[in-house]
Amino acid sequence: MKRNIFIAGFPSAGKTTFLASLFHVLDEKRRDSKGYYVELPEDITYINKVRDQWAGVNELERTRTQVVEELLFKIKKDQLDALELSIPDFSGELFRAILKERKIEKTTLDRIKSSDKILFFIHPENIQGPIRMDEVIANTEAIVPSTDPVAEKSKPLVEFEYLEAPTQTLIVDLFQIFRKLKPTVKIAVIVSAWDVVPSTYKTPSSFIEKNLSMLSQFLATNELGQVFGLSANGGDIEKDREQILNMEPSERITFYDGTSSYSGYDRLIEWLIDEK
Amino acid sequence: MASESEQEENTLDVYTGAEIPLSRSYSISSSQETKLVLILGPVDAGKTTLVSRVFDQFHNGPIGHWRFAGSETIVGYESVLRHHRNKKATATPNVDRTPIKLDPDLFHINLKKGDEEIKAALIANLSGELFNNLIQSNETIEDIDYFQRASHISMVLDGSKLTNKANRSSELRNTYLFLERLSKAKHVSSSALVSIIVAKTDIFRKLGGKIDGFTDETIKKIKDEIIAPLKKNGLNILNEPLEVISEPFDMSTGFKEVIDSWMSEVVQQVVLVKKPIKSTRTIDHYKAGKK
Repeated sequence: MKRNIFIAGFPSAGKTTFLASLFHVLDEKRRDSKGYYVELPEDITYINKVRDQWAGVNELERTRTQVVEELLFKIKKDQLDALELSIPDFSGELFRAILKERKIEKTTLDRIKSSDKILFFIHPENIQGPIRMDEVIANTEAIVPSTDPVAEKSKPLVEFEYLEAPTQTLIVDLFQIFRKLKPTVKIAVIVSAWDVVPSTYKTPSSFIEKNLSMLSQFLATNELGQVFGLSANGGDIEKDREQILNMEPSERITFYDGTSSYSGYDRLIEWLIDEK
Repeated sequence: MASESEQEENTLDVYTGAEIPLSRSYSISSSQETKLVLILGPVDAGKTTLVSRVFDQFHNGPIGHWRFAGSETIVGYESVLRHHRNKKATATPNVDRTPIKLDPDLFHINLKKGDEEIKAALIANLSGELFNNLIQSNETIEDIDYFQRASHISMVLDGSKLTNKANRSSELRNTYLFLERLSKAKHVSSSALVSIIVAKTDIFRKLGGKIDGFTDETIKKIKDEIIAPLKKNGLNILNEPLEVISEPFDMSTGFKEVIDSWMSEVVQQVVLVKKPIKSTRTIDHYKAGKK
């Protein structure tokens, strides 16, 4: 069984951190071979480098826009058919460019069309919300419009920069593009750095519902997929660096499916294998 | 380095996200239940703002029972909303003036209520100049064929003008005259639902809620001078005007009612009063095989 997985998200969403930690987990499974047979990609130069940065609790180098690192993992567990996970690492800038230019490169297009599932990463600290009108008015010197109609009409129009739209608008737009290219695709929204999300949010879904409501409605009404949470670093790599360094790298990973939390990526792999 | 033409070959255009001309909206209306909503009103009444704020409100949560299910015109909405989102904007931002077009641009939104199927609304935000021209009889409604296809017509009144006793009467009169012409026009579906929406009252409410003239009395005038006589004439018009307060988010009101009216399932089927035609033929004509 072959599964093509497409990983997406805006810059600094946690895509490469996820890949580095996934590679580490699968590499470990390959070595201890308990229930798993794992074959790594042929060329592991890039992924090995970011894995080492991740394991050493360092900032990862940003994925370059022009370079797509192809990663093909072959996994076999118990009685299941061998699963081939084909995961390219695309730069977050690429997705912003698609939205701005309204064009998509053929290589990216082919990748999306051949994908079975998409993992879309959102970093909870990189969410731009809609600016509320009460904030606008608080920043406004005059509440009452000018009585001079000429002065009113001569106010300059605001330049339009679409990428400054609320994060959830951009994500919905991107998901609509994905669905036009591949109508049956399922999307998992992964809230990365789940450990920085206040504990008042009991589930990743409740976080999305409260902070990205339009996206939450869009996912639900179109039965598009699921919302997960992921803590791949085990904490804040600046504040908690020493503490994290004392942990085994694979023990730092916690995955939340909305009901339970899991160490490592078994639950995610289960979802990726699932036909639904 | 790849040439420009090579780069073009290696890329594919994705949907623009901008407003869609009515003539190219078939792919939406043919695939799902779709309402065509016409937004009309004088220049600067707040029509464009109303349409974009309906979309914007979904950022904050569902509106009543309605949940957001997608839009083909997200970029178009955001283009309008930039005036409201700009922190240096004034309290009454200038939005781009809507041009008159024979093939009007439509905003699109998909909405879902409970377990029902997703429904689409295509919203034509018509130019204020068109309204003025129609009032002045420079153009006839019959010449504009999309009026016949409308399932809903929303007349937007500038709430700030209704506060001004000098402007109020002409504002109400023009609205009445326009809707009266609409009710008489043969090219408007008799089942199309008409609503009156009062916009732009927010700013006056912020000044302590004292609104010169915009009181229950104004609402009563709208009901007595516009709604009641038009209803009597057979126009399928909502009994109450809808007032929309769009800012701030958590105090916004009126959007649920607006969407409910736009998406209403079964509109009141009103047969426009017609003079009965008395046949001059008798049964003998048929017996004799005459026509």
